[in-house]
Amino acid sequence: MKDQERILQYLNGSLSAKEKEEFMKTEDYQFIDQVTQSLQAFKAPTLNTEEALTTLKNRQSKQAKAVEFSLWNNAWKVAASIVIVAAALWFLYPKSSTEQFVASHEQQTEWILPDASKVVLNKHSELSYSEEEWEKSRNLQLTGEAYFEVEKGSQFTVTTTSGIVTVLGTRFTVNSRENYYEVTCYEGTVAVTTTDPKNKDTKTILAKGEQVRWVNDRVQRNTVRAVHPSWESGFSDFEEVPFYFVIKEFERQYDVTVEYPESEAERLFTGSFHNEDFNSALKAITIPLSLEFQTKGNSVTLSK
Amino acid sequence: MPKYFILKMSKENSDNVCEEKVFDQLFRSFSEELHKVLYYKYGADNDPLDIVQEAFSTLWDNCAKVTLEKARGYLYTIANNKMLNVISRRKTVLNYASQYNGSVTSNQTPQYVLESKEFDHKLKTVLESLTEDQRVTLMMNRVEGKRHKEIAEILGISTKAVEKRIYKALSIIEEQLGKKI
Repeated sequence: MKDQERILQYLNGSLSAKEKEEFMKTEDYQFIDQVTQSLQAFKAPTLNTEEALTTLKNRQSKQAKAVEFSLWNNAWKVAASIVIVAAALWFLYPKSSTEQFVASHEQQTEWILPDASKVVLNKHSELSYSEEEWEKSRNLQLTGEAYFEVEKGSQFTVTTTSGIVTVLGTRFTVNSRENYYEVTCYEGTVAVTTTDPKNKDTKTILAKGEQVRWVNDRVQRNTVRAVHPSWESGFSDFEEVPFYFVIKEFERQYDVTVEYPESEAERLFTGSFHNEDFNSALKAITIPLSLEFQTKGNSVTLSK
Repeated sequence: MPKYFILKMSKENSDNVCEEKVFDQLFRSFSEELHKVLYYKYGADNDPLDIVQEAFSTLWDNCAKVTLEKARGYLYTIANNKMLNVISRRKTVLNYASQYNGSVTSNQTPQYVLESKEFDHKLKTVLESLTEDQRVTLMMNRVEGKRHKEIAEILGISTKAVEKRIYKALSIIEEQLGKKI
């Protein structure tokens, strides 16, 4: 065989008609053609897929029964749990007779709402809505941080302890943590109302790429170039954010406790850290502020 | 705990491998392809169909742990491991397909018929002496008509590696047989 490139193109069926015609005049072609014809003799027997599937099922039927049985047992447990939770909710919220679905998980979780809107919950965040009232008003309660892609429709409201965000159809994130409230709009327009007494009833309108943030009651407005929140792709991103808040996010992401010098708490931090790589994340938050770190089990100590 | 359960329920309705419908669909989509790969790799005497059944059986047992996207790769890994774990693995033998009557058509000279029969026979020996990887790539291309990229996807290797293997296999065949044609 001579022309390797040509041969491989021919084998892959990627020669043009003209190139193929040329190639068919060569010795390479004659050889490959003969081998190809002869190779057909060794073709694998055709599998009767349906028959094979039936055989597989028969073989598994005994096992399957055992599995079904244990599922049945668990189904009772799950059903019982749901009843207990529903009952608890009913007692906890005696004024509303509605059931609530609550999502909370130690990991980022994606959730599709009944109207096909998408929610991504960051770690240690909870979201709930009333299933009964959903049809009438799309109303969600959020603790923590979440990213939303809202399908067009009636008014969509996200309520947190720090404020309320209302939209019609757009993509945005709400981050509501202790003494920190941040809303970023990635598409469309959102209206933000804060519960902060000083700014009460002021409506902030955010357009695409705009962000508003209340840190300890101070208002800050930024522009954002990203089209998705950074944490959704595995990073925590900060722009001029007090260091104590960066530490809090770090603690949430890695489930550790961090001690650091008081004097650093209010320093402003700009940068990001990785959410899956502990060591590089630790460096990312300490090097910019010239801090040293020591780790011991689940606790981290930062020092000057 | 129940909270998490509800969340999972709402998320996994159509891509849960534990659902019989989804599992059957997987079997219909991939069993034949897996069977071919195993057949060309390990030959007819190592019960490729049995291994296919076992691989799917294992997938079913672990359906909760395997996502739909990962299922195909999972099947190949399991099947290969099972094959390698068979202690008394037999030498790879490729049988002539039963409906096959040689690369002969009616209007060929007796000499040609004789020569090509001899060629086929020698080819069988060479084919069985190739490495598993060379053989499966060659057969998937020349007999099953798969493009390099498809083969790369099925075997989880690069397109370059596929090309290398096919070319190497053809070179060996040429070296052993080519000059005598």
